[in-house]
Amino acid sequence: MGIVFAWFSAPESVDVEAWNRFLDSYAPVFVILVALTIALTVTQYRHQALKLRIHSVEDVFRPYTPMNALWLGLVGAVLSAVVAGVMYWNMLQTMDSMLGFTLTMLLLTVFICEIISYPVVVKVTKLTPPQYCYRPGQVLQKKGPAR
Amino acid sequence: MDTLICAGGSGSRVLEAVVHLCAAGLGPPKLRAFVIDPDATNGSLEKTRLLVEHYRALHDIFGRGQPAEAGDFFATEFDLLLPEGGLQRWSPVKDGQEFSKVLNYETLNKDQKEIVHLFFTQNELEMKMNVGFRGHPALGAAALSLLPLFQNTADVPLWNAFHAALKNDVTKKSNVIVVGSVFGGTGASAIHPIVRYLRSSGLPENNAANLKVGAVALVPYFQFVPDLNNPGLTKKDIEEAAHSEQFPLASRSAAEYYEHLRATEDWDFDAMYWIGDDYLTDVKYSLGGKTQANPAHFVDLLAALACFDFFSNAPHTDVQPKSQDAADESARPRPADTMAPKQCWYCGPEVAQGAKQNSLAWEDLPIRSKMFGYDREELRKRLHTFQMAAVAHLSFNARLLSDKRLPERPYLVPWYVERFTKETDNLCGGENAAHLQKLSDYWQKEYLPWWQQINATNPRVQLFNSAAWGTTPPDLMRLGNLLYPDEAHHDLETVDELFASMVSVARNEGGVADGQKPARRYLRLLASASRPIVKRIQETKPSE
Repeated sequence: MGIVFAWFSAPESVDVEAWNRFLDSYAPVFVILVALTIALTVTQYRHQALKLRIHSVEDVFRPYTPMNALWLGLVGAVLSAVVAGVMYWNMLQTMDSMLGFTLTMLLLTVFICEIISYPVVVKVTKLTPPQYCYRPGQVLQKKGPAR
Repeated sequence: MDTLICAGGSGSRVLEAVVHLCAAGLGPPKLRAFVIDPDATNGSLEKTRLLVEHYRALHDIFGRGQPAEAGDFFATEFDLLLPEGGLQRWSPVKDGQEFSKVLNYETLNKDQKEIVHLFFTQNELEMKMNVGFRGHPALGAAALSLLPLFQNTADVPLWNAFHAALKNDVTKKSNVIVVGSVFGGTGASAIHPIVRYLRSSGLPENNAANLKVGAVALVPYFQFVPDLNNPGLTKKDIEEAAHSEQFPLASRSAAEYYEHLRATEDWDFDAMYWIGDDYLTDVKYSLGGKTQANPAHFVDLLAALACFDFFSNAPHTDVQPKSQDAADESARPRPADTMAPKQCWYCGPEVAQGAKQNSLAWEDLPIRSKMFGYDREELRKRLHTFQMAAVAHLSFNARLLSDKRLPERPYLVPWYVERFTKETDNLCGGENAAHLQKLSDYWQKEYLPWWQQINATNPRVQLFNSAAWGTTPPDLMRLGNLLYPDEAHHDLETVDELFASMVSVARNEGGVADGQKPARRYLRLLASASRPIVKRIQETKPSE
């Protein structure tokens, strides 16, 4: 699994073989965390969207709160970074470049989760009740007069 | 072609019911209608005249060119005989004319005058005919017996036009029904003279069998007492006025008269419906004129459905049975959906054992197994759908479409994006918004108040839940509880369900195709979206 991070070269103070073992151990955890975060985001989105109701005209114009589920990507990223930091310390016994690595994992997790979750939410129409079918992609919608 | 002739104030109110049912998509494809009423300012007539005018405007927008059989709203086309003037009223007497003038009393010799006095009192002879026959059918019958004189008279264009139309109609199957009360003045005096006139109106012999003539005879369903303290009423007014305590006696006389016609084989009716109620609703007393505008009653609804029953099931056959044959024919078992010829039918609220008052439920409506292609269940569905569309539009969609945020962010309303995004489709302003405003006005000011009156004047009506539209705008909480009875729990879930259904229909289904007027497309979309919800609700609330 270390191939996932093959582009990530070892810091100078770390033995290359130890670094590769670390990456081999962390990569599956990373993939599982990303997958779980995406699944959780989509599930949470669906759950919130199904709970929404249009009971009044104001409900039509209120903010579309199910999109808040995408913030779960950040939670997954923090978790991924914490796990990366703990494993880094346990396996490499050094603080060198640890902050840079965990920050990179945090950003990478956020990026991957969002870049997958958002299109899934927009494109998989069954996730969104028909009342809100244009809301997930509303940033792509044309503003201004209907015509 | 089907023709409805409404006599008097009760006849006008039945026409009102007919128009509302046509709006809900329950009427025939084409309907000719006019009113016989000596009271030009009759409040019921004025109300109906305005209603017909509004209906025709709505038909042009929402219903023209639609097959009525499909249950489209406002599909029935009204033929009012003359191109100008809207709903036509004809009076057998001149406005304000004394009754003695109708009989040319002054020119009669002494013997003839004495005969006149055998039939009419001095008060009746001096009665001014400006507000109808005031419950004196003898006056009306005398005036209406002159009817055959009018068909070729140039100064009575209505009868000229009707006679010409009838001649054209009878080349195919055609039906004429006369509606009126048999306990009042105009209705009681008009039914038989008109039917007799139709039977002897000089129609070609070989086509005469194509004409079926029916009557809806309303028996007492309301009562009033003169307000003796009203300073506007003179003693003479009160004496001349219709007295509701005489209604039962007048009805009995009418029934005996029609029975006499049957017994003497002088029965000109292909069908006759007797409709009334065992509980008389109190109404405000009126001498006539503008103040004679009794509220709608469920008897009007029953009478309107009886008219449709006749139009749809009139006993057209190639050979007219002779009177004895008719009796044999009627004795023969027939399928439930065919009408035996020359029969009397009656309807009203079912007698409930042990109940203080009888109540009217769906199964009491006079519908054979099929009427214009729909049965009782389908009628219930169509009316329920119309009701749901009205409540949803008035309480939700009209507000949504007038919200200034919608044109800026149309994607918030997916059904709007799907169907109304072209420049000419804009429902938020211009001509389309004006069309929808007419629809709102009809529902808000005419249709729902009519149902409200039916329920309010008679709380025994168990058809719809009037609590849903007792407020302005109607109560959205009861959108899922439009059928009787009013339930304890209410919520707004049906609002969300209908919104979702509109989106699904707009995205997936035909029937709301482009090319139609946008306002019409909107109404069809609303109806199509309401239907599955109505079906779901009705499955949980069977009519029987």
